[in-house]
Amino acid sequence: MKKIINNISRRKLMKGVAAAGSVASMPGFVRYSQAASSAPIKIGFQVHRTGIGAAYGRWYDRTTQAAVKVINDAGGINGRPVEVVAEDDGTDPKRGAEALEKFANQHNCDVGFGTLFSHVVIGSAPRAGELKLPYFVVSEGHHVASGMLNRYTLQPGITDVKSQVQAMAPFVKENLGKKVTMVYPDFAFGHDHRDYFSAAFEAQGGQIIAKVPIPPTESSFSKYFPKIPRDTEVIYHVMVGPAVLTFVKELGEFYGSKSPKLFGFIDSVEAVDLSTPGLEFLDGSYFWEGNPRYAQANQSDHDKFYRAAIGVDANGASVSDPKDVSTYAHMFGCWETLHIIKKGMEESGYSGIGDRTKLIEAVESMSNMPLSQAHPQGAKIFNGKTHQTFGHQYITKMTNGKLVLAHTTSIEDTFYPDEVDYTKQSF
Amino acid sequence: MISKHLLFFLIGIFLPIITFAHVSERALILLLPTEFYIPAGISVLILTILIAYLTPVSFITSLFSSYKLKINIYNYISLKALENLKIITSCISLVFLLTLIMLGFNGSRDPLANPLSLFIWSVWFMVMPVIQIIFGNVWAFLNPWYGIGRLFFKNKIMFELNQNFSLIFSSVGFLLFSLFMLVDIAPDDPDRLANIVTLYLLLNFIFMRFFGVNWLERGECFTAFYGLLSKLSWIWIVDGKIYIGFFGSQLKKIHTFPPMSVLFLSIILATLSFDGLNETFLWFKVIDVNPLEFYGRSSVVIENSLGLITFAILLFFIFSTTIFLGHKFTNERVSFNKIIGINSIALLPIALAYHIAHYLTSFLVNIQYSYKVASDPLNNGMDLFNIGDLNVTTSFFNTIETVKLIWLIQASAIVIGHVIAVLLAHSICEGYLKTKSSILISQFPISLFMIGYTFLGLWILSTPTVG
Repeated sequence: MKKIINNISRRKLMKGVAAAGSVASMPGFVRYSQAASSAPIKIGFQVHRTGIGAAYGRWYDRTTQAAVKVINDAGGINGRPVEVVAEDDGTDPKRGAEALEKFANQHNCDVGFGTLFSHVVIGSAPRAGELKLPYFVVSEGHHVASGMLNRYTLQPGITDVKSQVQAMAPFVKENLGKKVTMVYPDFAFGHDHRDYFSAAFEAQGGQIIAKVPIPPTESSFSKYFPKIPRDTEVIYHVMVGPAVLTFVKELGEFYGSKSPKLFGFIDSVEAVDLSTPGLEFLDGSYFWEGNPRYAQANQSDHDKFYRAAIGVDANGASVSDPKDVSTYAHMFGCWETLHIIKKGMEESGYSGIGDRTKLIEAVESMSNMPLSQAHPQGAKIFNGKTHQTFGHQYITKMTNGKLVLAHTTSIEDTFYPDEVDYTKQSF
Repeated sequence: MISKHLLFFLIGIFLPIITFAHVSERALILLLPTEFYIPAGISVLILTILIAYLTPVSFITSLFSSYKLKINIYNYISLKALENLKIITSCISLVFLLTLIMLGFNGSRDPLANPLSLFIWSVWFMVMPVIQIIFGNVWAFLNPWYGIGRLFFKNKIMFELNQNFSLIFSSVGFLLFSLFMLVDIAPDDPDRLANIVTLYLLLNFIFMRFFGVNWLERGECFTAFYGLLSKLSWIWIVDGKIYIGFFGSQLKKIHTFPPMSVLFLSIILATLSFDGLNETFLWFKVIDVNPLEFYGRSSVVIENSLGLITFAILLFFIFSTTIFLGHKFTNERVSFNKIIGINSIALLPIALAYHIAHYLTSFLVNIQYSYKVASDPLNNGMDLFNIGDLNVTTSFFNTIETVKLIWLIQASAIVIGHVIAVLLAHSICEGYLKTKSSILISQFPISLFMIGYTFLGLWILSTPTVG
């Protein structure tokens, strides 16, 4: 059997144990010293170490390590230290499924956790069901709540794209304009935005006056801009890929200072330094952010704590290198999911892999998750039936090169009717 | 005392790794005026070609002259002692490799925290070729099989290995390695890599049992590759005497290479070119996959296997044809079989140029992971270099200034590699062609090939890619 404590070293772990021991008389720290077993809780961390998701994987890893350190420093879970076993999924569904097999069969992990890219989650989840391994994903995909996965797969720490997109509609209509042209890459990712947003926006009484799909391999965009009608009040853009900065630059050259209002998803410029030449055109434009990259005027103590624990500054960049911009809008999902696993294990009295179904039931029974150290992004409401969490979304305005909070949606803005009830599925 | 930074640098050189990730620098590269840079780079090559064409033969001859230093290493160490030293260093290298394999099986599962994954993909693949050029044939001392071979299989040759025929073994070996690196879905997975390295280690011991120690230089693909690279080094040793000269000057003394060298070098160059081409949007268009919705390596196993093999075959035929056509129209009769091997050496500087250009970005990231692992090699909380929680950064891919600098270094490597290749090709022909007119005719097709290949290299660096 391979025993690995990844990144969080044994020495540090022992330091955490010692610290916990020294305050064992304090409330909240008692359980550690009373634990029946001191064997670690093993969390299999499925991480994009290589492949197209590696930039996200690096920050998912940093956030995960920081969260585990915080949990261990506070006494671990049910008095047991947490050990992360990281396996690279190569941002590939086949390897993702193999990683889960290793977690279950080789490393004896208690749960599987992690990973962002939807295709990896969709490729891995059936294996999690077969292995009967609780699989906590942090992917934003609607695939969990849509019902296409299984009872062993849960997404309690990050909201899904469907809820994010539809929650933008009221703000856009009330504040930016009623006539929207959507510019999006012409494949599933762009189509999701097109479909979710247009339905929600039209339900608000707004009008999508044009849809401009861009072929995924396009690297020059000027020829598409004349397709944007002149009476467009808002351009909704969700371009991704290596040509995204070129898109912004050419859009700026096309419109100059007389542009319609711009609304986009931060995914386009996640981890990109906003002082990059060409991006100044985005000043005054609005972005969805899962979690605001820049510390805001109303920053909570929990966000402060969270940033400090990961080593991220007020600009969302690494403390050790201010030019190293994090994937701040997404990575909080790892932190929150790990805290939910902890809470689920504690509430179910989890003692080993025989209690996996009890853990899932405990998480399914969760509902309100208040803003706290465990949930620094904001309060959430978890839907146990659909295995999907719902939470506040943030709209920020780029102002002098920084993203300043303009609006926080209500959690209710993100709701949509249930599409599945996983609790009716047997284990 | 060695400073922390120097130590960082040294460990970086000797202990780096692999990721196939390129973060977001490509988005910034697309903002650079590469449409001007590429013609500028090609102009430099064309200028070099013109200089080589228009200057007298003596210019190239003098460029590739070698200079003997007044140092004879046999004054300091005898030939026998040197041989013994090679055996000792080789055995140390073997023990080191076995330790890494053990850590591959038992160390961290994270490829960016496992010493085997980090070491193999960096030293064996990223750094070793550069070391061979800069320091000469260092691999002769680091080869993990040599010591055991000399100690146990020295005079036990069961089959004599033909030098030309053996290149088929090296070619197949390198092709299999390339398929593992470029097509296999998890070449960096520590477990998988440990199995492959173990298998390869054992296979070569078995081959040495049959063919003797000569197997290494002739049939083991890395020793053959590194051996050829050391022939391009600016420093080399003959009979204890140290020589220095322009890259490739040693080849003046070598007039023939086995014809199969062209196959071996075509596979090497194809590998290093395809690993880059296979990330471009153009390639994704060819295989009809949406690059923004790439499902990972497991979804393109057949496509990339066929792509790599086709590329190698094409390169083999195109290069052989340029040499054949070049010599067909000269007035001098030369045997194609005799000159194709030595001419194919001109592919080596190009291969090294592609190698440096393509892996520089990964190297800049993985050097940092290597440093972390070197500080805690057993993953047990050691902190040998007192680095604490060092955070790996990729911010140099995040600002236009650093991205531009990195791009220019990569592009310069491509251009310089081709400039050396052009000059080397001229020099090689001067070794057996008598008149300047014959040399000019012989060089015309290969010059076109070089221009085309420079364009390919610079285009790969500039075009939209996945990852």
